Amino acid sequence: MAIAFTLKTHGTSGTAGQSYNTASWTPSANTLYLIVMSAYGATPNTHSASGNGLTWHSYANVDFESVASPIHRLSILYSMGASPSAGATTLSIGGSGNLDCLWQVIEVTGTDTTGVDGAGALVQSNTAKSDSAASSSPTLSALGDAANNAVFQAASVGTTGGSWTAGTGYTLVGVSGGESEGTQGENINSQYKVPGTTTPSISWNGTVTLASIAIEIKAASSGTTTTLAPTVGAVSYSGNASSLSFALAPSVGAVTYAGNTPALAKMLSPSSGSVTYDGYAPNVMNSFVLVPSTGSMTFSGEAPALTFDLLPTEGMLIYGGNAPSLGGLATSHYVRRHGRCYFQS
Amino acid sequence: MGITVLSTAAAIPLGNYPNGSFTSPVVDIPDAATDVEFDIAACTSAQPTIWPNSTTTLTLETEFSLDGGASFISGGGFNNAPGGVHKNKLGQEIPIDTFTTSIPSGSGRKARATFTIAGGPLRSSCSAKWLQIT
Repeated sequence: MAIAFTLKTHGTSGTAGQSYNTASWTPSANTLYLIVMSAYGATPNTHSASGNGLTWHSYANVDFESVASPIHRLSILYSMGASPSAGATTLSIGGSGNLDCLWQVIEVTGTDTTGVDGAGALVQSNTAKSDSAASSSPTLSALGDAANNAVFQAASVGTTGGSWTAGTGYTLVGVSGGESEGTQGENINSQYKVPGTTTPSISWNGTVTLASIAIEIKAASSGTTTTLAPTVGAVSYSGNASSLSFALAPSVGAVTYAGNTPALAKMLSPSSGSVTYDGYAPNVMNSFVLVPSTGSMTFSGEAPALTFDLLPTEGMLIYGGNAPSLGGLATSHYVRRHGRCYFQS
Repeated sequence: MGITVLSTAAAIPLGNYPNGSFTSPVVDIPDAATDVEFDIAACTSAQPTIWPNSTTTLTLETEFSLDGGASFISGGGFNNAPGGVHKNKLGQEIPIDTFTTSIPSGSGRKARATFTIAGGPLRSSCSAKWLQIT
């Protein structure tokens, strides 16, 4: 399921104070929620939220207006819970002397659900701010999953009376006029794209004091049960593959696990090609693995629990690290034909 | 695209209001309304008798009904806003405090608001208007 964004509620208050309430909204279980919150006062202060049976955390913030002496904070808070409840969310600003507050509450479905209160869905963030700009473009590092992960960007300006334009391929969460608070002169909005890009950019129709936060949101894993590889081509896992229970490798091509593979229960390797585990593979092949008929199979890390294996008909099998539990390999399950088997440590 | 003021939702005249809570009559929400804005008179040098003290606080809670007034859900608000003269970032005194919140979609909706005053009495006025923001 692709990541999707829905604006649940939004509002503004130009009233001095340290506490504001959103309208009532209804969260769903195990779903990621973001609060975009912007406030202006004597000095930027901590933003926090409570309510809906959820524990809210601050993920990122940026102080601006001006860059040198900021009095305005934009922040993103997040939460996820198993048993949330309908109701209002109370938004609080620490300290004293706050003069306004603007907010958007956003539901994000289709995300990773690991980590404490949804923290596993938040991959990275970056901020940008300027005293005089018409757009804001914080750059992110390469996305963890460029095909599925989303990029979300929240922005705030120190003025009103204008409108927002989403970056190429991005969609505004709010209306183009954003959330406008005229007493102090502030406006916020946010945008998203699925899959995202490393260079999100949101624009205001004028040169103003402007700041934004971009975050990468991790998609729910789609290959935890069964993964089918292409007939011809390469399969590469750049991150960890913690719950691949069954994988088929291409007939011809390479399979590379750059991260750890703690729970690969079953795998078929390519007929011709290579299989490389650069990380640890503590439980790989616990159940069943076939190595390539022709090609190499390399474990750079440790493989402590290999209980069943077949060597390539022609090729090499190399263990760069320790393989302390190769009981099955050395006995009836271990068949060596024309290949070679190396234990380097 | 923009903000359209549909109509005035309610108006509370300038007056001295005592400590405690006051809930407005229930009013109908126009079907086209997406948001409601409250404007509350605030203290300035030109109107120094209006809500002058920072120890006088006001809490606003708005509520919406989606079932003809049988039940209400929170529509948002603010808590313990202080009085006194407040200035904007340009150094100008602010004559009006505002609160705007989105309204759940539907027809036949109703609304009400509760004002809670502490450290008062509080001298001010309030008007509310329905907005259509697109």
